[in-house]
Amino acid sequence: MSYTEKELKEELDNKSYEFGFVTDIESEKAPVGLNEDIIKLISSKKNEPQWLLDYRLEAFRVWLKMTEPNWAHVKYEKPDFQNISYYAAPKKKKELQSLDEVDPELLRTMEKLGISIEEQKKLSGVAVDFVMDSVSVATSFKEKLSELGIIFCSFSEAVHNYPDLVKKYMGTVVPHTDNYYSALNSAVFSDGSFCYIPKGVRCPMELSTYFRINESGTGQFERTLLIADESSYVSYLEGCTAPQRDENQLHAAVVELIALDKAEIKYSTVQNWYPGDSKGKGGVYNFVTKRGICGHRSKISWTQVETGSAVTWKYPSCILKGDYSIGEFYSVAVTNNFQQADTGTKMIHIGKNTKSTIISKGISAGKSQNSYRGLVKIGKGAKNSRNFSQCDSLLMTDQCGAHTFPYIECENPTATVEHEATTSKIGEDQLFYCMQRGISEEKAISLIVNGYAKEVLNKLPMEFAVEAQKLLEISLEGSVG
Amino acid sequence: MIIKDLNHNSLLKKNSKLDLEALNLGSFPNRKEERWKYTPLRSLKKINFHNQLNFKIEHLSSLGIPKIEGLVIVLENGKFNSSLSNIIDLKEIELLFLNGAEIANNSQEPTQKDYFNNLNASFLTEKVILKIKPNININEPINLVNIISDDNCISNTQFNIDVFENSKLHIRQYFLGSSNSKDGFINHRNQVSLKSKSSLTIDKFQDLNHNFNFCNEFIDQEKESEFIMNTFSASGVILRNNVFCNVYGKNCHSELNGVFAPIEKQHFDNYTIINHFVADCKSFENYKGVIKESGVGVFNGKVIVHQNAQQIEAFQKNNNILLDEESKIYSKPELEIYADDVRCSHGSTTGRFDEEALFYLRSRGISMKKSLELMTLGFINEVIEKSNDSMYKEFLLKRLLKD
Amino acid sequence: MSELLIEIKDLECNIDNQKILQGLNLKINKGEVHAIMGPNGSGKSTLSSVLAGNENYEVTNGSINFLGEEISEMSPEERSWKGMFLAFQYPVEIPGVSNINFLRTALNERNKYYGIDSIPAKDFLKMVAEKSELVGLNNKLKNRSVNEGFSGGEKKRNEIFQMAMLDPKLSILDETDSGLDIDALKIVANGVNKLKSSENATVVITHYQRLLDYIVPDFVHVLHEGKIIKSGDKSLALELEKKGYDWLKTDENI
Repeated sequence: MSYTEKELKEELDNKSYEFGFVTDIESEKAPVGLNEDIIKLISSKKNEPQWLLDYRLEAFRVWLKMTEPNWAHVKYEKPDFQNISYYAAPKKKKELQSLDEVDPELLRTMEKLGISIEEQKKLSGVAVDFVMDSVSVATSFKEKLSELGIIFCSFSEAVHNYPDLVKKYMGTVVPHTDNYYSALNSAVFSDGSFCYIPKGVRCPMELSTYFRINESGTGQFERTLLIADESSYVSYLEGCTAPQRDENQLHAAVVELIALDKAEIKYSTVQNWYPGDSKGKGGVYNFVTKRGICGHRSKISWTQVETGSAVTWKYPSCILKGDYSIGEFYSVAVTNNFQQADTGTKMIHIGKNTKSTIISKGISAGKSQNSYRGLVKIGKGAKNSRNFSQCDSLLMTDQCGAHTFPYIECENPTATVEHEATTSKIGEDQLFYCMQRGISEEKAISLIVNGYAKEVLNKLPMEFAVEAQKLLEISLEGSVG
Repeated sequence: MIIKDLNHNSLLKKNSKLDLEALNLGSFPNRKEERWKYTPLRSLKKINFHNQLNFKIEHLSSLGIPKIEGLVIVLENGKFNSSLSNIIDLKEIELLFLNGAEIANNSQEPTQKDYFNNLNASFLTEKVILKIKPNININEPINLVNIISDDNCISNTQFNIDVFENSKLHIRQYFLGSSNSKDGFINHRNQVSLKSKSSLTIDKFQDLNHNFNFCNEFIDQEKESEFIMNTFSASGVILRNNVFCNVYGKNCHSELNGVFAPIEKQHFDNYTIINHFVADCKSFENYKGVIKESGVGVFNGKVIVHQNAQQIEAFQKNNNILLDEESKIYSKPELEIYADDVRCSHGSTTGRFDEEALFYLRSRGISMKKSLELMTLGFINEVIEKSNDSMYKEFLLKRLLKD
Repeated sequence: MSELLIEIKDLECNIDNQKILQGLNLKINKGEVHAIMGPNGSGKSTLSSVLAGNENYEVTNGSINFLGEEISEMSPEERSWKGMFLAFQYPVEIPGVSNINFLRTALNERNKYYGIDSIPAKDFLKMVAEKSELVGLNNKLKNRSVNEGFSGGEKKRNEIFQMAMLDPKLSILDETDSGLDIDALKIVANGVNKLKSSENATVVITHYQRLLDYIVPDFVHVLHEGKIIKSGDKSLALELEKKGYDWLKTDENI
């Protein structure tokens, strides 16, 4: 065969990050370091009410007493939290009223990302909240949404305009005491998205946010709070990219979902933070806490395609508190070069007749380490609950690792819990079969990997699925087209 | 944990009292450690142990096991009991008993830094070495019996089992607690070395009643060797089996099977690590949990395939049945894979019996209780079948089903 | 004068250091149908795998000249682009990849190799409809994952359907009759016959004469211990059906 594994390996090594460009926008940055003064500065920059400042300071004091977790199957140099700038906002002269007022440079950035707001607006009717570094700069379709009573805005706006909702729900799913990074986020978060779907409303379009770390030496600490009131429905998309930089950038977000009775939230993420170069230099540390809570007969569905970041530490979870509630987790995680991912989910069954499904597909290449870590807990009262988990790992080279760490805790005999996992190499017979039909090895790999990940990709909204598929190809194929 | 009335192999001081925490055994395990996450040891920790080595049992039959024939080595409360044993002269087996000061001269560093291992090494009172010469096939199983019959007694014992090239051995190992004793603790270690092309099967049966039993098993496998261990856990306050199987040679077969059936707040924990250091090996794990009456079952199995250990086939399976409201199961099958050309998979299921199947049985006139029993039998049979001795099988079923 | 399609000379090959083919010679012209028969383990399936370029087989000697080019070092896909097709004895299942997507990719990859634009979706679908009729492939199967959950017969039909789509120069049918009932056999054979032309050739590898009633060979070869020990016309197949292979083996030994 003309194409050897060695060549494949070389190609994977040389794979380059397509989205590595720096947007030249004047930005305003807080001095590096972390102390109460910085937190006060952030809070005052954002004109925040006292209760929020108090919340931040309390979180900061809790954080000081905590230690960074080390149970994940990842090795990295702990970030120097005193060497990070905790606030960076593009300097702006006035409030933006419409897209036309957005800095053209920024619009170009979005275009490069393939998600130009204009395009989105025209073609797919997606409402986009674009979070650059830390401040939400443009929100489209706001009017159309507000007719339905849907609130979709930046977190800071929500603090000013809907303080009661924010106060009522913020920190209820991920308390500031939850873990090291959620505490840090609670202290220094700069912006994020806020979304509220009123009772009985079916959000007519996909809501979408793009996060992007732009400024060098900044950490991104965004916060998302999404509330789906009774019998409502929303599909929410989150995309992430970061420019190529030598030093490690930190991203520690908190996402809280609240699905009240009979509500449904579909939350999709395509994460493509800069993974570092082929020597393992640079890249984003992605330490994210995402969790949702389900009311009676409600449903939360997490779908994620993770191709980026140097280190990922992320477990989008569902607390199935209401009876008959449903939690789903669909994940594709690709690691290449020196990337490390420890990702999975937690399904906490509390209510009766609750149901959860976990489909996780890991793909390891290069010298990367890819771990699935997932908890399924069936509480004592979770009668007749069911879980099904399927975790597959695909290994592309003999230098990488693929690990599966499921935790199954069952305290109710009427529950059914099934977990399956397989680890294997890409099928030589499948490759040969494709090649016999004239498909080159590279194309065949991409076909097979896409087929392998299909179950998850199918769960993504159309426009995202295409992007995700492309990302998978970029992540694995190398630059040869 | 305290041991008084000390009979310590290296610091032999009668009637002295020793606070174990003062000894340098490492820290007492707690649930913050990943490998002790699901097994709290409070009930063990609060006991004051002694290791006066008394004999109390007159006949093995009083312990509810079937008649054992052939070579029988019995250790009672940490000491070799010759009257219960049947030492027949098997030319193929070299047998050596070490106790007291001899152990100190023969001591070895524990391969795993672990509290109970260190405890075992420091307080070891009886060490039995078995060596099976090369090219021997011993058909009749040999029997190793560990008994605890004295309240609050701690028994630290060890078997070293070396099977040389091309030999084959079958061991039946019993860990038994007399029904009228309580809070005794057998802290045992098996050190197994399998030379190339050798084969060892261990059937391990644990029936401790109101006593505790921890077993640390270290198995080193050379090329083309075969190791099969079937663990049957019937009773005990806390049973913990640590199996560390290190596969150093190619074309080995490693197989760990088990049935654990805790009742009445008993807590049975199986912790296994299979280390595949080299290529072309196969390993299998199949553990079945049947849990009722507030029993707690734990399965934590890990397969590590090291880099360059290509062409490994590893399968892990853990199926559990919860039979009533208060019982719990924690299952954690883990794969850690650093080589690409492998076939590894695991599966874990937890649930109850299929209602339709139960209904079918009952509609044929079988009582609910019997139906459950039949289903349980069907459930664990796959593992019980590993033993080809019908008497032994029957005995196992009886004890595991708590008939 | 017919045109030479493939010439195999002194072909020897190993798998796991075991010699399977031991000096095999075979010439096939365009427009011909060849049947290769032989007892189990004679090397029939090895031959098909080697021709298609399966790397598990190591060619230790000899040459394979296909349409004037030496192909024994060529990758399987390149051989496919040149017109080699193997209908697998055990078609492989590829979860998550639909038949349609799979074939379209196959066609486009070949087009790319020849510098031809990729086939428009409309034309492709038309082609699919046309070709699937040939073997009566159920519409549903086309959209399912490749061979996943197909019955034995469906898998074989799918193979012929793919053959029709790819329009190869040389088709090797490896035990395509195994596991087929007589009706399915007829459908498959009918498909193969319709695809026959003066420009292509077919190699039928089979155990039984039965298939040859429907796909009539011009030549029949008997493979034994990695060599063709006897060649003849269709009557040889009938003779084999009656007498088995043993008389040939003895012949050779004499």
